[in-house]
Amino acid sequence: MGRYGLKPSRQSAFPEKPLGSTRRDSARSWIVLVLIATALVLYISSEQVQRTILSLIFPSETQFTHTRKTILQMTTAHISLTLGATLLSAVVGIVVGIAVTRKAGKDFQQLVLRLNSFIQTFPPSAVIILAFPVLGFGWKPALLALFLYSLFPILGNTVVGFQSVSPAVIDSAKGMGMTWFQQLWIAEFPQALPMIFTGIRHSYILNLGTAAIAAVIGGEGLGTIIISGLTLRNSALVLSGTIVISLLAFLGEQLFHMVSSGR
Amino acid sequence: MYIRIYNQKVVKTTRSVDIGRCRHMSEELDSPPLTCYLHRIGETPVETERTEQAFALPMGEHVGQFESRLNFHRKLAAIVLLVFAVSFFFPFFFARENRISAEIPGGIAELALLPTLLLLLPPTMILLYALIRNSRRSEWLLSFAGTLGLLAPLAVLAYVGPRVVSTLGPFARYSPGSGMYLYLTAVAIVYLMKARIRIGDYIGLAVALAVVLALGHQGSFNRLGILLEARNFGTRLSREILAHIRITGISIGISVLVGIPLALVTFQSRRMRKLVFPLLNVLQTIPGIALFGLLIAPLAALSQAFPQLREWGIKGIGNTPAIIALSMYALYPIIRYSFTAISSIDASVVLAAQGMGMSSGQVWRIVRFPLATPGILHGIRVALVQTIGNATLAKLIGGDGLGVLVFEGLGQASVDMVLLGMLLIIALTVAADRIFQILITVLTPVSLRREGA
Repeated sequence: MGRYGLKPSRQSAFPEKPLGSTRRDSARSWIVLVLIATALVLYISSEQVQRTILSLIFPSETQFTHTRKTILQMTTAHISLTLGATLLSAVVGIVVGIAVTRKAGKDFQQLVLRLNSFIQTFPPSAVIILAFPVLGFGWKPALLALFLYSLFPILGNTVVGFQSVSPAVIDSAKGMGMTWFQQLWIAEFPQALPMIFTGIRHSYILNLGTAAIAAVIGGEGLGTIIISGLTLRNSALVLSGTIVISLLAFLGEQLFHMVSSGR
Repeated sequence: MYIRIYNQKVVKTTRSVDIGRCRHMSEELDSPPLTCYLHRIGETPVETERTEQAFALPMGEHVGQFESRLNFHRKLAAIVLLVFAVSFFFPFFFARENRISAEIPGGIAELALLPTLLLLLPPTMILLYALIRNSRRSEWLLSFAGTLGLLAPLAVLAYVGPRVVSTLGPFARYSPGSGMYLYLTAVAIVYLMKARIRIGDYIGLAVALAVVLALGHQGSFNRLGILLEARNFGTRLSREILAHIRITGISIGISVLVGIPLALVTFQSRRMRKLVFPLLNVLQTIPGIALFGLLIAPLAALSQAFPQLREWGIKGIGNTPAIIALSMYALYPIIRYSFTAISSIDASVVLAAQGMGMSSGQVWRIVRFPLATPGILHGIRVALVQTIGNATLAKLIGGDGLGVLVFEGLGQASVDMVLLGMLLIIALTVAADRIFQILITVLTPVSLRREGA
């Protein structure tokens, strides 16, 4: 627990690896990345592949594709919804996070953190579905709901990241005669970056799953095929959507992992 | 604000302590008397009798820096006023001729004079608060603004209701609009900006509640969409609420019974750790909504192969697969938090216990479990909140619970029905969260409690 009951999200889908990037690790990371990406592209581009895999797992089902939309269309919509929300909340979260850790905005820090822990008690499905009575039907309400929900992990982590910058660093930056911006950009930001990065990664994974629920309020992502699978009692359709979402999650994790370890 | 200032530097700060207690504290601590000062901008510190809360100031902070913080309330008030102002540009309520017909927006301009004035009152009080900003009185102003901020929208709803019914026909109804949600957001910030909730606030909330009940008794809210939906559901509503609680409770029960022993085993064995965590991580990337669907086919096949199972309710659709999916999903936070709680116990404490000659069982019972309890409970709390939300999705595979309201509402494009379902789910979530917070506070060993935590 942090100072204000805030728990920075540190979990990763990958176990922590020791620091120090050797060439072998780097090569392995690239191979994993390429493998996941290939699997993803192969799966979403060909109906034949989908049919083969799904019929292998669920031999008793007869329908393996959505009647109106292809997996490719749904994946594109899903990715744009997820990335759009994550990017929006990253930009807003980092800006607000920086603002409340400056001298002028420090007063709002507690308010932001309280709001953060308050919002986190809402289940993601509630946030998405509530967008319907408040904002209406369609992808815009879905995007807004995703944005609002994923904003707070990033914001919280940004605040914690900047709080954890050692005062000695700030002091020496001041002593070197750095301007306000230099102090922020050269001295503090690099130190806070790992925490911020963790927040963004957490938000991305969160959004990926939550965007599936967005299908019920008109956010047309992979949730469409999952929900039609649910209503038709067809596990194959559900699996089809799930495979893509899981691959997207692993792809994102791997990318974040490679960027953050500098490979 | 009580601070002790020495050579223009803050050397001692206390939160929410009045002078009497401050003196008392210094006697208790048997230290040289603490000087308890109220410091105002542009004034020399004066000793005073009583004031509002203090901010936790870092030691050694210069008084000049402290002054900038005193402007905090003005900044916050500015934000609240901004939200209030924006809310007036959005419709405060929607009227409908029947439950699914097109909505007719109503803004503040369409309200009569009295409700409008009432709505303008809380922002005015906040403005006053920002201008005078003076010790005790301003804090009361904030409490009043909060209470009135809750009452004003209610008054608007009570006023709109009867008027709508008279013009739009017998099936007319109305719901709060985005303006009102924004307005309530501003009120929520008012409450959040308070350092602590005072007796005045509780009285205010009680008054607001009493007014709601009185107005409701009088029939002012009879045409409110949510209430109409609730009335349509009748006894089915309470049945679904109970079903929701039951599904959540059973799922959490299962995952606690499975998760905590599993966390213990993973703590003891390195090999299990390598097996359990990757598995849980993969499980976590599956969206909650999908986990339900993935179980349909395997469970259906299982119940076909063993008809005996069907008698126990284990089949592809219904409550059982929902409970299985929910408890699988709740495993992650429970195992994760329990594991962290157990493994983050100070090794020296365990060593000391072993040094005292405790057996392995005693170490667990007397040392590890009590120390890990808050962490474990925290995990259960996270899982519980998540499960109450996810249990909504049980409806999609034919389960019961409040999801029935939500998804039927979505299917019929009935905003009020969805809202009713979601409000109940959020109420359940908040209640569960509160209960666990209290439980955690009570069960935290004294040695782990920190001052002010």
